[in-house]
Amino acid sequence: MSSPSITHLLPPTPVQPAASARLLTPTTQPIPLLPSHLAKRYSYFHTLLVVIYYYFRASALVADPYTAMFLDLGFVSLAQGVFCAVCLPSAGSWVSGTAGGKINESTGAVAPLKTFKGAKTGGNLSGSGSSSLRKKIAPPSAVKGGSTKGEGAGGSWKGRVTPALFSLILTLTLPPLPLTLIALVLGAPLYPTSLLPCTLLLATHVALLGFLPIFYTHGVSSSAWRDVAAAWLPFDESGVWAGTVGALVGGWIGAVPMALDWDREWQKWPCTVLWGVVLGWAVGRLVTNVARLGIGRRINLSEKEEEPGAGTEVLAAGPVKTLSETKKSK
Amino acid sequence: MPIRYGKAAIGLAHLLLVLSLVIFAKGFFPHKAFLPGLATWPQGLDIVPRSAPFDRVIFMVVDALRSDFVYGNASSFAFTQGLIRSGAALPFTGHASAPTITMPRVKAITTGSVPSFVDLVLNFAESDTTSTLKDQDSWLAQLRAKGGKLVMYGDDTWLRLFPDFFDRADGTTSFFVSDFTEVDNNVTRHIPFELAQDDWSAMTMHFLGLDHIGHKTGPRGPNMPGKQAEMDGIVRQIYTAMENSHHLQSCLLVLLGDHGMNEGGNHGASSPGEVSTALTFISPKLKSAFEGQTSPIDSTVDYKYYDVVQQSDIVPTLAALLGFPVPQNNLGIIIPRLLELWTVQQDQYDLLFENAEQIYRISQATFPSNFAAQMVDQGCSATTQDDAEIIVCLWRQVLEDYEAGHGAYSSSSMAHLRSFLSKAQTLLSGTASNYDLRSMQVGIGLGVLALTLCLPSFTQGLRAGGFEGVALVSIMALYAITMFASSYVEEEHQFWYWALGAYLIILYFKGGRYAISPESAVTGSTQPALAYMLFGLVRRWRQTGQKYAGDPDILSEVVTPNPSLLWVLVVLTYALLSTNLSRRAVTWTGARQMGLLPALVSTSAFLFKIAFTAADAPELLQAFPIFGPLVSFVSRYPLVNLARVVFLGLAHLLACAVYYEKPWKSARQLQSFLTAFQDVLSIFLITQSRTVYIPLYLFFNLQLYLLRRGRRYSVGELGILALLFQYASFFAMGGTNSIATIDLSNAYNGVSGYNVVAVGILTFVSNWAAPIWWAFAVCQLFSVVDLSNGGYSFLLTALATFSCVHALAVMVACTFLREHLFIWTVFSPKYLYTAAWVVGQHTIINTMGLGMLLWQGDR
Repeated sequence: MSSPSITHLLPPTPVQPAASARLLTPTTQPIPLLPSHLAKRYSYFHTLLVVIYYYFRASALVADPYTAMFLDLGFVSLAQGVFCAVCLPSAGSWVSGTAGGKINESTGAVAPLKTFKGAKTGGNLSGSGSSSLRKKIAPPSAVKGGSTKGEGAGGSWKGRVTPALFSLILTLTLPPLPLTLIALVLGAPLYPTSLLPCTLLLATHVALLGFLPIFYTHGVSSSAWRDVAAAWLPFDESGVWAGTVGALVGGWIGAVPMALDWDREWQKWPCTVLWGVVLGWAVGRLVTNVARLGIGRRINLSEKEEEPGAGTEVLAAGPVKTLSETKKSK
Repeated sequence: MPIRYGKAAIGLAHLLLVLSLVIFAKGFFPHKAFLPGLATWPQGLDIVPRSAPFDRVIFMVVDALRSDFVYGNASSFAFTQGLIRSGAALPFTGHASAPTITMPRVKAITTGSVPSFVDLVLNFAESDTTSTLKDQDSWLAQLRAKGGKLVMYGDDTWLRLFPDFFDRADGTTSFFVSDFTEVDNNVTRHIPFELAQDDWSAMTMHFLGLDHIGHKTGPRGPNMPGKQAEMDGIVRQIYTAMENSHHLQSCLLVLLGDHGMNEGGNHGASSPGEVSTALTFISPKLKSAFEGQTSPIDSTVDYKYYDVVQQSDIVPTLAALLGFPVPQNNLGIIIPRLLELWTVQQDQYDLLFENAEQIYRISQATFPSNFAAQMVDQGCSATTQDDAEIIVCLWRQVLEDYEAGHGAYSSSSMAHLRSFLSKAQTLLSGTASNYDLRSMQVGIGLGVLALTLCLPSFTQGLRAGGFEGVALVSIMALYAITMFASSYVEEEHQFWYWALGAYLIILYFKGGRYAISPESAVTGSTQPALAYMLFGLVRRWRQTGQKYAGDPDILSEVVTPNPSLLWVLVVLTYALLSTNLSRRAVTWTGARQMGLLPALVSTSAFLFKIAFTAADAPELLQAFPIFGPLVSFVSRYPLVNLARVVFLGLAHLLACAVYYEKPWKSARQLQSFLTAFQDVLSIFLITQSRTVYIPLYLFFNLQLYLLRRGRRYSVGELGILALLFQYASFFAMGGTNSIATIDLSNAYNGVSGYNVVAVGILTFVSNWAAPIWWAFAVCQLFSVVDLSNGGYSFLLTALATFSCVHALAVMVACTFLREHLFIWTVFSPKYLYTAAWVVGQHTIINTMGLGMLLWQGDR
């Protein structure tokens, strides 16, 4: 029998997408700290405050995780809300990103205030910056006024409390369930089912620490949240994104002591994970907000543009090389 | 050519690694001195052997008879407890040392030696002739040498250990643990006949039913009291015969368990439940010598009832009671309470002295150099010396007493004798003392060499890997660290689940950075997200590990109450594979009839699974009556033949796939062949898996499908995925690092008789089914480019490097922690598992299997 033709060899199920995947570009800008001394000092103080609070609640958490975590929601919401209102620009009051085109990483990294100025002077960013999904960029006068008055750069206090409340509602409704699911897959106990509420509360704590400031600063911009879902936000001087990453990584690492056979009370679910979340959050904030390291950089997962023709169409290696060479030569 | 050099290095590294594991094991696992031949009464001296109180013995082994099953207040051994109260039964708790599985235990209770972990390996290759006790000294051999006849009914382990020993025998295979009654009736039906005979001097019975109930339903299962009452009835039957028959007047009944069971009903390790067995000596003659003891006993710590003795103590005790020399390799001591049967103290002294002489000979064989040097040396402080010196010193004291008193009894010489015996027993059974550190170091050295061979190509790949390189190195480093923590060895699945979960999240993030096609704005994060969710299902399917084994999981909470759900998933799994293969087969020749072949093969595989389940886990089928006619249909055919039909069909399918797909022609054809191959392999692996785990293959297939739908993965990503999925899936299918969970139920599929090689291969395949599946599954994710330009070789390098790290970490941990409390219970089993991972999974499957399969695309 002659060798079968290629059409015979088509796999029974569609195997790979018809064309190779395309690398996207992140569109978010680093979240600036409001340019007032109060904002800067309060952002330091806030990290300390939250860590100290959890520290003093540690024994209550071990004694009765459910009640303790439930009661703590109030304080953490308040603390994070105040932090947002005092230190961060609310969604729409700053240029949070570009809808398309590449962000020049170096200018984004230098100082977020430039972003404000960029918006004021109508630089290349603002030109393409407004999308239908995003609130309009704040008028330049508000920014200018903010930087001179003691009120801070974020607009009037009333103009900050409302978005803070609004983002608090979003934070308490949207992320906890997906985060619970993520925690369950990562190892949160499914049985006994009586522990599920604890996991939900843990997820709510993570949401408050990690996602409330993102809601406050980015709103519900789909392109911003696409970047969040790809872990692609740039690290920022206000410590928001580093806090989020730190909380997630910290919670992940926080699960390690639970498996050890020390038989301590605090090894039970979810004590060490919550402490891991808080510590990771604090470390992330210290590194970016206090030590100002890595600001403007994004997490590099060594994503690369795929070589075209790497999909199923190309039959031999020869043409691939030429294709990738032409790509490089462009 | 660098790729070729890299492959040669990987092959050599695996060779070195296997060698290093063997050499290390030689130094690590205790070397037992072994004296060949049978013990005889001392020549020359005309010692007339004392009259023995008993002339025949009924050795009644009840598999997994934990101490509390007889002595506790929940026990149904009412008659036996009455005997204990009357003094006709002398109860003890027999301490079984790890590994607590039948064959090593039978070795211990017949030869008196303490079986090593090497016996454990041999237990799984049961037919190995080197593991028989034919040429070893045992109480069975001694009775035969005296001219007695032996009969045996029950577990055929005895028949294999003692070939041609028994004049009458009827062996029972412990094959399907769902069999609670037949295995025991097969023994019980012989009892009346044998009790009427007077030609035997030892009747051995080994009942398996109680162990089966334990494995199926745990120590508190509903069938447990009934089975205990049944065993108690047999004790009553024998005891009544002993009272009434003249020829049984001097007969001794020993009722014992070979090992216990843990709260999950499993055994193999050394938890208190597993090592505490019942051991009762019963005879009407004992009533006059001993007072009764309280029974039942309400509460106790760690299943310890009455006096605790070693299981090996049975052997010298039987030697004394029946009047034969103590077997050569015995490490037991005559049980003190039974020594009281001899009213003359001189007899007690003589018995113990013979016991001591025998143990002295075996210790001399264990530490030959020390004994030669120390016997002349005077001055003895029993506190500061090493083990051998302590034994020598104590023995010298015994000898001095003996010579001074010309072998006469005195209380001080008796005390010296006892201290020598107990010290020698502890030191010789305790194995912590005689590691061969040099072999262990050589083993580690060879392991390091193997790792260095892998490193050049591995580091080369790492530089290209970016983030994945960092992740790979971190996984390896973290894994090596966890090998030093006993809890993480016991709960190793936690590490892999933890790492795989995180990596799937990272793949989700990465997917979010790509649009699935140049035109679309939809990101590629959906597929990793769904694969991640499926992983959540997979990891909770069966609760594994040791500390929380038996805790609720999806199987126990959702599937067991609704067997129809399980069967729907099972049928779906078979249907998916069958349709995939049928569609493919049609493209092979262009003829639609060709699609029938895979359908037939899958149907036969499914029928085999039904037949097997009907025998292995009938409760799953009983609750799903739709399969009733199917079950009665397949029950007409022997399982062995059904399995052979399946294997033949699969081989035929595979041959067709190779012939028509021609994978050696081009990378493109190889890639296409891999999908067909995976489906054929899946059916084979499913045949080798337990029914409750079959739905996992459906989830695995879905995960693979999702991963294939996503963007193209780099070789670095595939290296990590292969590593994480292989290890995590091993634990998802119920694997652990404990001997207790080795699954033998599918090891005999299609094998009749004892074929070590076939059984060994099938045992490995059925326990490593999921890792094997993922090893080949990940290959499908390679692009044609990576297949044709050799880019895939990084996968092999990464896996080879990890196997070196794995083996090295375990060897170093075993060396550093050799004085650790858990060295024999946690680290030694882990070492055996590591050997299986390195030899079976990494060398044979990953390096040889994948290497050869993918190499064809190189042209």
